[in-house]
Amino acid sequence: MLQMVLQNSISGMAMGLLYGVIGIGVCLFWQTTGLINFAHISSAMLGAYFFYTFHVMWNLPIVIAFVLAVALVALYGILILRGVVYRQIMGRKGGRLEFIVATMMLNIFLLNLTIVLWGGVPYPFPNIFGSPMNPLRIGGITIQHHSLWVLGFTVALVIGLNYFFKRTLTGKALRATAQNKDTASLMGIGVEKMTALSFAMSTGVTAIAGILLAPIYFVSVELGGGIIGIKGFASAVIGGLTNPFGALVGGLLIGLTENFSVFYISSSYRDVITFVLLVFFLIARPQGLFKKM
Amino acid sequence: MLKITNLSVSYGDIPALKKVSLEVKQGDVVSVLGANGAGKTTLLKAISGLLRGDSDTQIEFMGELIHQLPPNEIVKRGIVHLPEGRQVFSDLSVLENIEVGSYSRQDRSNIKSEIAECFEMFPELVGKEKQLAGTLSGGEQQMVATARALIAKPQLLMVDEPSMGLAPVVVKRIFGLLREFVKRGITILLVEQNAYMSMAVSNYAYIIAQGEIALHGSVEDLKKDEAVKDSYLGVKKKKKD
Repeated sequence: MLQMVLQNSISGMAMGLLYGVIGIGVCLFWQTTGLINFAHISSAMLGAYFFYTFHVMWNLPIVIAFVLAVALVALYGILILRGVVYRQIMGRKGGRLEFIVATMMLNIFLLNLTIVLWGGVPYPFPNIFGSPMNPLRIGGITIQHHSLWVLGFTVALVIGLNYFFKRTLTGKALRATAQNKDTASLMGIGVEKMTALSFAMSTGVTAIAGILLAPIYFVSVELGGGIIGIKGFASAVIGGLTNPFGALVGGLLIGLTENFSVFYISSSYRDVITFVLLVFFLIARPQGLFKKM
Repeated sequence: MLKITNLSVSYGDIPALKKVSLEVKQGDVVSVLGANGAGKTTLLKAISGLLRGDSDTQIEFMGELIHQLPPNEIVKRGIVHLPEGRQVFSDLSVLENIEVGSYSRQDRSNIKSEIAECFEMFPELVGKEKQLAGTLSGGEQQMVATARALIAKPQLLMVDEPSMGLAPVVVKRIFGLLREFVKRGITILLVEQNAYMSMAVSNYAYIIAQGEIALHGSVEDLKKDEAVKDSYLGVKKKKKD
């Protein structure tokens, strides 16, 4: 019994952390813009496809392929969102609705572009995060190497983001911009530059999540169109939208609930559970679990 | 130092400032007085770049035209705006607020010791460095905002309604500090509803009414002006029977 609980906790945690990382991306975007990017999850898909292209197709070393893929998606965040979508809509004094519709369309466009460029057939992801065939066994519990990689990346990401936001002047300036753009510009902070930075961080972080999700979902358009994006968004909402680390807790909550409900109820409820949690939080605690960072 | 010619600003169709011309000389303390809604805050926002004037507008600072520049570039040239209502970053700590204030500085060599000086100037803030600025009292927030402006090394400091919502003791303290800043060579453009207080610290004043300069002159001259006494200083002549 205890063994089953532990086993489920571990697999739930690994998935939950990934939802959480996507949620961090949602928060980073919301922080400076007060908007939800409905093409957010396309960054995860692009990250996985870019990594696959660089590492498997072009045979670049893992680290270089990884950095290149994340950087490219960060650049996509700046170019597409700020240049083509965000600036255009804000320049015409468009509202949230316009932005939502535009980013939804952008997501559909990118899904189709991906199918055109890479084909619609999922690619198997190489076992760079350990093979699922020989997991660690401790006691009666099986731990996938992949889960440990996810944990490692998440911890590194949290430490890195925390250092950036709390210790560097740029990070503090970004938080100031998130709170009050006008006053931030009076401090000499370039608000446009800060928005671009948060776009790049939001898409870049999500690209990392995409690469880590690929061993589970394959390199497929499912990464950019399916339910994963909604789970990331729900993580962010549960965490309070303004606190990136809250999103991680939200993600863990979803991941664990999901796994246990599969175990105790039925696997057909797996995706429903996210919506139940989301609706529950929107009714009971719409401000989320955590305060602004 | 600062020369404004024909500044007109409107919010949509509603004009807030109409062809305002104004000059601030190095070392001066210039007050802009006027009732609520006269356009005082609009004036400061137009100088710091948060609002744009119309096409006839010209704002010159130290010989350079600045009215086309974005706010963050204007700060770098030495114009620091201490906005109305303090506007501290409430979710940043006191120390972080002051650090962010130094963002525009190119020369960062002495920042640490200068931040320490800020805390010497505002001993009330000592021990609260890590506290979130939003949890402070109004007076303390004004001190944070003042320190945050000072760390940017202003040549021209624009202060908007520093007395708003504060206890008289704190107001006195803030105005005392403004005098201190003048001694350090900072030029001040002060916007205040409390005409009595602001005329006590300044040497030149503009009176603005319905978006236009109604009157301007040295403080000594204005103090003698009957109309000013009546409408702004609240000094009423006593009628003798």
